[in-house]
This record gives sequence, structure tokens and C-alpha cells, in this order.
Amino acid sequence: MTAYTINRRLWSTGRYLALSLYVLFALFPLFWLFRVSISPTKLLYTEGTSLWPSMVTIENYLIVLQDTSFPTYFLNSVTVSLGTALCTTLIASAAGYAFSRFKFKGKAIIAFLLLLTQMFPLVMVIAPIYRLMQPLGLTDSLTGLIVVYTAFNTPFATFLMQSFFDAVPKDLEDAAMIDGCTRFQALIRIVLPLTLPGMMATLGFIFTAAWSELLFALMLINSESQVTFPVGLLNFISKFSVDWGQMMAAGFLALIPACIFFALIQKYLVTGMTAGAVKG
Amino acid sequence: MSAVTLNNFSKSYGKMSVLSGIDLTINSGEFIALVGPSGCGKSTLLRMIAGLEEITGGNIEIGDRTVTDLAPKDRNIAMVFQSYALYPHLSVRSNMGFSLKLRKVATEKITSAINSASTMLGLDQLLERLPKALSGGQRQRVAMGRAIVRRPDVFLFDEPLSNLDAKLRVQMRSEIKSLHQDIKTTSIYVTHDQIEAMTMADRIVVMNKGNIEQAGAPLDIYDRPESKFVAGFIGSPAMNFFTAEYKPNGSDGFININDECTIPLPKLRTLQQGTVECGIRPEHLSLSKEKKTGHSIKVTVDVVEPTGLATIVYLSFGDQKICFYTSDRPDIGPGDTVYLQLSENKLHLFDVNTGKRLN
Ligand SMILES: Nc1ncnc2c1ncn2[C@@H]1O[C@H](COP(=O)(O)OP(=O)(O)OP(=O)(O)O)[C@@H](O)[C@H]1O
Ligand SMILES: [Mg+2]
Repeated sequence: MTAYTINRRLWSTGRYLALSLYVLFALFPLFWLFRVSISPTKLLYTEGTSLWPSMVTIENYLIVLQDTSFPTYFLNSVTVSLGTALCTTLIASAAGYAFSRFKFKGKAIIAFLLLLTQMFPLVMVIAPIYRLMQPLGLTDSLTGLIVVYTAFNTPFATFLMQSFFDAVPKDLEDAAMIDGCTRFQALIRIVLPLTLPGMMATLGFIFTAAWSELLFALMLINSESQVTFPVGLLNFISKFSVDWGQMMAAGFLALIPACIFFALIQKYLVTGMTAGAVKG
Repeated sequence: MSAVTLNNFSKSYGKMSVLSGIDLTINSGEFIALVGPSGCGKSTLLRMIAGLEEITGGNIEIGDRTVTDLAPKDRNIAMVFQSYALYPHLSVRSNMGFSLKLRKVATEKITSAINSASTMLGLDQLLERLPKALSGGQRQRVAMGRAIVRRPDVFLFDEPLSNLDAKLRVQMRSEIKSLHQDIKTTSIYVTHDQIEAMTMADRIVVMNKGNIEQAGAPLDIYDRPESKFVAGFIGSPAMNFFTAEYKPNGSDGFININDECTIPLPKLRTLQQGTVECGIRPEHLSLSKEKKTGHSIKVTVDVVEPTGLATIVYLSFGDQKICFYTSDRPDIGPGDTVYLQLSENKLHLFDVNTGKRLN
């Protein structure tokens, strides 16, 4: 072995070591979540911080699923997050396409306004939003939450989608239009398939954002039947104690839809879809 | 196959005029090369013919139809882009069949059109591949194939070969030419490469700043450029220019270069006497070490570039640079003083102000 190959092996080993450390670091909280959720409550404090409890139980899960309103919260969250993700992606795709392909009056101003909405802390707008939603009958309703989330996520999603449309060469649309497409057909047949990964990424991103949103959900929802899961989690904290085991079990269950969702879309997230379109 | 006629074709972006009143008729089956410096409006003109760019003024006819207001898809043209613009998510086969499928052509017909085009272009083995799995030259061929299967009235090419390496470019050049000889579709070909233009085109259109400077057969343009711009643009190495004094002399005239060399000429019709721009191509000079009788100027050798096939010599004439091209291998080196003879019947004279041809 020459010094060069030794050196290269050292480098690649080092790289994997660094990556493993990083993954360990990122996943440890999740592991701890799981570890606490399967620990019997009575062992929680006595065993301290051992990596694995001496006794394992699914009791916490059973309680969460059978004796609390968690399943309702969970369904509410799925509804709101899916609704938000779909609405936002649809609007953002249309807007992003327009920003990417058309010249129109006031384009710069609209872009600036969109950016401006991202600059205020949400806390500032909660009261006005509440006043706005109340007469419309949109407080204490999942539809209201979808509307608010969509409104707040659309600007960012629009810029995201614009960048995906920008990445599709304009020549492709021109070629399609010469080949016999209208602009709309070119969009559907050529541009859309190529931006699908981007749309999926946006969908996933917005879904996750809506899934974990707490502030608006806390302020706009009153009735137990409309509560989403992040707010629901707070119910495990009572005045006198926190039921860690149940809370962690609920939290762990809440990870499932996000995982399923990403498993479904991950094949679209592989990059390089536009490779080979034009010579780079 | 159709003729293309442009009448007073113009384009401006806001106040900036990019094309000012282009009039051009392209005959049915003709292969036209559009050349000109970067930014002169070649691509814009091509895209306007395709319908991709809005037309500010004038109109265009393809065959016997006026297509000025038609969408690109209704003009029955095909275009090959510099970037190839292959649909990345579709296989070679689907790329080539895309337009026919949109037109709802029967599947068997599509298949046979694709097969005959792919045989013609040597793509048979690649039909199921995605564009990203192809080399540059293969992508180029697929782009050609996509245009061919359409059987369009007109082919438009926007610098289709400029992304290929030199060798492949030469090969594709002759392939496109022989393809045109087979299918004889009216073609408009934008290029930067004058060799491409000279070798492929039936007629070259030289553009400058949104105008047509000259349109004509390649050798006519080479031998009789109508303006100093065309003379300098066409030909590589480029034509040499000197300023000279023209004087009439009885029924004839002569020019005088730096009081060193006097060359008799037929009388000019448009100029009495005065300063002219005198051009001569590098290959119309001859070099000698001693001053010979005839029309020669004394020059100093700067650089000698042997290419194997020929020798290109750069020389100084006073503060002017001159290029000399010969298929010989002259025995000279930098710093040598030599004499260049100018063949009097190969001189091009241009007006100093307008740049228009005088002789
Ligand atoms: N959207 C636009 N807005 C304003 N000016 C433009 C626009 N598109 C092109 N132009 C101008 O029009 C002129 C012609 O451009 P065009 O692309 O036709 O040049 P070209 O001859 O094809 O050049 P090249 O050889 O570099 O490809 C250029 O000066 C360019 O700056
Ligand atoms: Mg161009």
C-alpha cells in the first residue's frame, strides 16, 4: 500500500466516522423519546439515565390510544396538515410558475410583499387574525386552521417552487410548443413531470410545518373535538405533574404519519431529474 | 417544402430596436445560413420565425400561408436548439414521437417514422435510453431526429453544433448537409462558425446590428463582399485593410498606399478621388525576400504560425498589422524584413465613411 492509498482510506474512514457521529447526535432525542415511552412510569425516576430500562411496557401506548382523546387529535392533525400541504403546494406552484416564466406589472412589488410577510413574528398577528376569523366563523374550526396555515406558508412555498421552475430550461417549453403543445399542454406534459420532485418536497415541507404548529392551533381552537395533536400533547402536562411516559408515547405515535409521508415521496426527492435535458 | 418570406420583419424591446425591417425570401428547399456577430439578432429572428418571440412589425409567410399571428404549434416548423432541449423524462423514442403523438397520428405510423429517422441517424440502439445516458453527439442526433420525424415545412437550427467538440462538429456538419440533400426541407441555420456557413449553405445571410448586410451564395460573398463589414467578417484569417489614396488617371485610376506602392485600377464609378479603404485577403498576397517589380510593400515579420497544411504569417506594415497566408513553408523568422506583393485584381475598395463597396 502506498502512502497515497493509506491516506485515502484514512480520509474515507474519517468521513464515515464524522457522518455516524452526526447521525447519532441527530437521532438520539428520538431514541430517548422511544426509551421513555416504553419505560414503566414507576421506573422512570428510579433508574435515572440508563440507556435501556430494566423492564419494558406498552402500557403507555394503550392508555394513550384507549383512555385519552389522542386519536381525535391525531385525525384532526392529519386533516389539517394534509389540507394545508395540498392547498399551499397548489397555490405556490401556480404562483411560482408565474414568477418564473412571465413578466407582468408589479412583479417586483408582489415578490417584495410576499417576502415582507415572512418578517413579522407570528405572535404579533395572532390577535388581528383572531378578530378577522371570528366573524367569518373560522375560529374553532379545522378549515380555519387550514386557511391560516396556507396563508402563512404560501410565500415561502412560492419562492421554493419558483426556484424549481427556474431550474427547468426555458428551451424545453419552447421545444414543446414548437412540437405542437399550447403553453398549458407544455406545462402539463413537460414542466410538471420535471418539477414533481420539487412539488413533493414542498408538500413534505409544508406538511411537517403544519403538523407541528402550536401557536395558532392553541389560540384559534377551543373545543376538545377540534384540537390538533401538538395542543393535545400539552394535556399531558397537568398542574401538578407531567405524565412523561404517556406524553412520549403520544409523541412517538405522532412521528408515524411524517415517516409514512416521507417514505411515500422519497423516490421523488432524488435529484437529477432534469439531467440530460440540455448540455450543461 | 415551402418558401419563407419575411416582409419588413421587425422587433424591438421597448425603445430598443433589435431587428429593423428585415426583408428576405428563402426559396423552397433552400439551405440558408444566418451569420453575424454576437448580439446582432440572429436568434431573435429565428425565434420570431418559429413564433416563440412576438413580432413587433411586418409579416411572415410560410408556403402560401401568412403565419404572422399563428402560434408556434400551427406553423409546421421544427427547431433544433443549441441546448438540444431534449425532454429529460422521456426516452429517445418518446422524444422523437412526441409531436406526432400530440397530433394523434396512428401508433404504427409513429413507430415507422421513428424507425426510419433513427436508422438514418444511427440511433437504433439508443431508442429506449433517457437523454442523460447519451453523449453530446448522440443528443444532437436525437434533436435532429425529433425534427425530422415531423416532416415540417421548415427546419430552424440555432447553433446546433456549438456544444460539440471540433471533430464531431465537422462530422455532424457533413451529416446535416447530406441529410438536407436527402430530404430537401427548407432550412434556416444560425451559426457562429463561418466554415459551417460556407460549406453547408446554399446562400449566406450576413447580419449586423439588426440589418441584413448581404445575402448571397457563399463564394459570391467571399469574392465580392458588398461592404467592409462583410469583407472583414467572412473569411478566416480575416481580410487585411489599409487606407489608400485613390486618384483618377485618364480613363483609369490608381491607388497609392503610403506613397510606397501604386496600383493601377479601373476607374471607380462612384468616387472622383480621395481616401479609400483597401482590402485584400491573406491568401492573395505573395511574399518575397527581395523587392520585386510589381506592387509590393515592405513589411517586418512578427509571428510565423506553421499549421502543417499552411503557414500563417503576421507582419507589421508601419503600425498596421497584416496577415499573410500561404500553402508554402517560407524560410523566414520574426524580425526579418520582407516584401509583400498585392495582386491588383484581388483588391476590394470600400468607402471610408459608409463602408460600401466601390469597385
Ligand atoms: N428579452 C430581451 N430584452 C431586451 N433585449 C433583448 C432581449 N432578448 C434579446 N435582447 C437583445 O437583442 C439582441 C439580439 O439578441 P440575439 O439573441 O438575437 O442575438 P444573437 O445574434 O443570437 O447573438 P448570439 O450570436 O450571441 O447568439 C441582443 O442585443 C440582446 O441584448
Ligand atoms: Mg443566438
